[in-house]
Amino acid sequence: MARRPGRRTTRRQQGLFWLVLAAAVAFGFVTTQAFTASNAVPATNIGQFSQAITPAQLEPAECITGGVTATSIVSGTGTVNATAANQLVLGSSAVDSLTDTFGTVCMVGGAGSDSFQGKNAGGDLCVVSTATTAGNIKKCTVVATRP
Amino acid sequence: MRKRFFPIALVVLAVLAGAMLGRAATAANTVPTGRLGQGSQATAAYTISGVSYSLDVNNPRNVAQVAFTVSPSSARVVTARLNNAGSWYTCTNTAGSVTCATTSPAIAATSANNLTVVASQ
Repeated sequence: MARRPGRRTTRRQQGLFWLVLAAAVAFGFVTTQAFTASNAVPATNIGQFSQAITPAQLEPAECITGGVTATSIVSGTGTVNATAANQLVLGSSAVDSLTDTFGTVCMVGGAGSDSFQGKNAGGDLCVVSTATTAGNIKKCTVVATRP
Repeated sequence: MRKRFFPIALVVLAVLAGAMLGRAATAANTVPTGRLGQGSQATAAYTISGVSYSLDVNNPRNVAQVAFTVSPSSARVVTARLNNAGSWYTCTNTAGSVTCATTSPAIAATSANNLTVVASQ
């Protein structure tokens, strides 16, 4: 059988090729490891919070304690009339006249010599100012005085 | 055998000569020590609780302040708004107790329908 001299040379060259390739890959890996260090990153916080605001949340705590939980708000300057039960009725810094005909509202007058007319004392609650005179508070339980 | 060795040696000598010339012509730069790396850490949200509102005592038609508790208490920048189309108010965080004055610009109680708080370190 005739010897094929070229075949042995080709195998040796292939072996050398794979050896060089493996060495190159190893070199690249080691180099990358050396240059890509891990940074120490501390734990951090960031965020957004969203929540609906209910009329009861805006209500003075004295009215909540007094038993009126507002489900709507009406406000104005001058004459301000409640339009529903369980309402937060808000006046202004001027002289206001707040009136309720439903029986369970929280009226907040603000500054000024305001007048309050409720449907029945005990059901209607009032936050009055120091400028409000007793004669101007009718059928309304005063739960706080401010300012 | 000698005929084959000669051109190879010539090429090796040429390469060496070129390398020496290149080395001589290329001056050494001074490169400072640099740092480069990669790291990652998940960010966590804040917890807002105990929200309370205060009406303006003189003009109760407007909301004067919103207060709440933020956890963790390390939040440095806290802003809030009371209406999705309203203005943002800068808040003050004191050891987790946050207060936001909402007087400038004033916001009516009837317009305050949604609280949004953004907090970051």
